[in-house]
Amino acid sequence: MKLWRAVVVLLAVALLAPASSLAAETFSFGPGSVTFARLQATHGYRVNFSENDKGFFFVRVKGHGSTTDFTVKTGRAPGDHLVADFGGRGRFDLRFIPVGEPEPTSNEGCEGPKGSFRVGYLVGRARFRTERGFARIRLHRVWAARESWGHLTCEFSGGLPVFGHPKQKRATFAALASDAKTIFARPKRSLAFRATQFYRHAKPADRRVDFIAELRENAGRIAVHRKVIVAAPESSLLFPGAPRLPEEVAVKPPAPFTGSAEFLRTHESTFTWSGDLAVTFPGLDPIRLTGPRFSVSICALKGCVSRNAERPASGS
Amino acid sequence: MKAWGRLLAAAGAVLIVLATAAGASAASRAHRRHVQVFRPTAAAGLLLGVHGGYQVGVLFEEPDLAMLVVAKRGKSDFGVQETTYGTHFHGSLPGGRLSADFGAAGSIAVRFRPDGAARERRPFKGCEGKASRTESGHWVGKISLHGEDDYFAVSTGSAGGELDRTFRLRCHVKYALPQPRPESLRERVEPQVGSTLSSIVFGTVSSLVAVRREAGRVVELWAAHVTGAGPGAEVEAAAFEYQGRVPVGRLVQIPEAPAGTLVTTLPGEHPATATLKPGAPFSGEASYLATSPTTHNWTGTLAVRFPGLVAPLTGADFYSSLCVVSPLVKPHGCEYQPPNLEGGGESTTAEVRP
Repeated sequence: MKLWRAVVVLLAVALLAPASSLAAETFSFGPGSVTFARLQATHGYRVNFSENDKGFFFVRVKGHGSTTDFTVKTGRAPGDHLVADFGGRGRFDLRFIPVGEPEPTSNEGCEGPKGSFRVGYLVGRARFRTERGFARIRLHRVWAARESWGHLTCEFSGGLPVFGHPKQKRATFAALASDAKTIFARPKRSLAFRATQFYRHAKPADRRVDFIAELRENAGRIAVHRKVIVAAPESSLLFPGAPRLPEEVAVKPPAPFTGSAEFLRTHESTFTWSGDLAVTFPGLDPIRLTGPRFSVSICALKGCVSRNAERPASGS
Repeated sequence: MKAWGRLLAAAGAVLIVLATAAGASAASRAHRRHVQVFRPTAAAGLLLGVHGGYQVGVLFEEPDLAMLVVAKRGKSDFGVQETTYGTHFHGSLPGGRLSADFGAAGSIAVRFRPDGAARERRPFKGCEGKASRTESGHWVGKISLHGEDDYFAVSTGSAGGELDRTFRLRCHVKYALPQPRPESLRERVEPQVGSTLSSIVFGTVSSLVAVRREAGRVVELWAAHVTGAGPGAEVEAAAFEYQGRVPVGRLVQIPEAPAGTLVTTLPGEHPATATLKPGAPFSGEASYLATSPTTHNWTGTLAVRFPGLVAPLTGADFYSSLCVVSPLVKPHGCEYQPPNLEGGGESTTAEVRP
C-alpha cells in the first residue's frame, strides 16, 4: 500500500509540476470581425444574428427564460454579403450598407491595434422560423453593426465576472447524458440538467435555487444549443436524507420543467436517479431528465458524490 | 501475481524517480544544484510454467531475498489467487549462482546461462553511468518445489528466466529525491488487503474488515464499495504465517465482484449490518451485526480457497469492523477511518488491530 501511494504521489509530482510552472498571465487572440443585428421576433422572443470572418453564421432566439442558438458553417470569405442557409428553418441573404464613418473601439486592458465599430443597414431578404414556429422573423432591412479588431494581447484582470460565483454556492447538482461512445469523442447529442443552491445572503428567498437544462445537437451542418433557466425557492431542492445522508437529493423545479426526481443512495453505496422530471424546450416535446443514461454528481458540504452513466448509452 | 506486480511497480517507481530527475535537470539546467547517486541493483526471475493450474516462478532480489510465487490470474475478472513463499538465498545474484531453501516447499540451486545478446538501456538524460542490462537465458541446476498436499509440484533441471542489472548512476537533479528503503523478507511476503489501486485513487464509501489471529496465522478479509463505482464490490482475503523459518503469504483478490456481493446499511442506520457473498474462490456467505459499538457479530459460512490453504472467514474468534460514510461529510472515505475492530464478546481491540 505504501508502495502504491509512493507511485501515485510520484506520478502526481511528475505530471503536475510542469503544468503549474507554465501558468501564463496574459492571453491573446487573432484579428477578426463580425457583422450583427438584433430584432424583435414573434411571440415575445428576440432574435440576434451574426456572421463572423471565420465563416460561421449564428442565430440566437431568446425569450421567456430560454435561449436557442443555431449555428451553421458557411465557410464563406469575409465581405459585405451575409448568406446562410438553415434549410427548412430559413435563409439569410443580406448586404451590409454602412452609414457614416467607422468609430475606433477601446482596447482597455489589452495591447494591439485599435479596432473599429461601424453602424449601417442590412438589406436584402431573410426569413427564419424555429420548430413549430414559436418565433419567426421575416425582414428586408434592419439596423446592424460591424465590429473588427486586430491581434490583441490582454492581461487577466483577476476579477472576471462569473455567473453564480463558487463562493455564493451551497450545493451544486448536475445530471448529464450524451451519446458519445467515449469521454474523448464529441457527442452528437447531449442533455444536461443542473441545479445550484445559493447561500442565503446571495439571493432572495424565492430565487435561491437556479435550474438549468441544456440540449446540444450536432446534426448535419447545423448545430443547435437550447437552454432554459429558471429561478425557484429553496423548497424546490431538498435534501431528504440530511444530516445522515446529505448526498440524497429531491428536486421539483417549476415550469418549463415538469415532474420531480430523486437522487438516492442504495444499500450497495451506488446511486439511483429516478423520477418523472422532464423539461420542455420551446418548440420541442418534453424530454425526460432522469434514468440510468445520466451521469450524476452533487457537490455540497466538504466533498462531491458522483455516479457514472450506464454504458453503452443509446443516445439522448 | 502481486509479487510480479510489486516488482513492476517498484521498477516503475524507480523509472519515475529517474525520469523526474532527468526531466527536472533538463527543464532547468541552470538550477541543477544537486548530484544524486543511485546505487547499482540486481534482480532475477525464473519462470517454471504452469503446474497444477498455477503459474510458478521464483524472484530474486537484493540483498538476499528469494520469493517462490504461485499464482493464478483470472482473464475476465482480473481476479488474483497467489501464494508467496520467502527465504534468504545464498550465492551471488550478479554472478548468476544462487541457491535457496524454501523449507517444506522444496529448494533450488541454479546457475544462469545467458542466451544471445543482452538488452541494454541507456541512462536517462542528466545521468552518467553504464547502461542497465537485461540478459535472457536459462537457469540450470536442481529445482524441486511443491506446495501443501502437492497442489503444485515442479522438479526440473532447467528453467527460462532473466537477469537484470543496473549500475551506479550519477544524476544531476534539481532536488534530491528520496530513495526507497529496502524491504525485509517479511515485508515482501506479507500481503496487504485494502490497497487496490481504485480504492487508493477514488477512496471507498463503505468497507468491511474481518481479522483473525490464531496459532501464528493471521487471516484478513476486506470488502469495499469504491466511491463512484457501479454496483458490485472489491473483495480481498489474505493469510500470513511462518512455516518454520519460511514466511508464507497468501492473497485472493476479486476487484470486480458482481452486484449483490456486499450489502450494507446506510450511514447512521442502527444497528449497522452487512452481508457479504462473493463468488469463487470464496464460498458461502457472512453477516455482520453491530449490536453495540463494542460488540460486532460476524457469522456465517464464508470461506476462501487460497493456493494451498482453505480458510474459514467467519466465527467468534474474528474481529470485525464496518465503515459506511457519506462522501460529502467525510470526503476521504473509509480509507482514512481507523477500523473499529471488535469481536462478538469482550473487546480486545488493541490486541488484534493490524
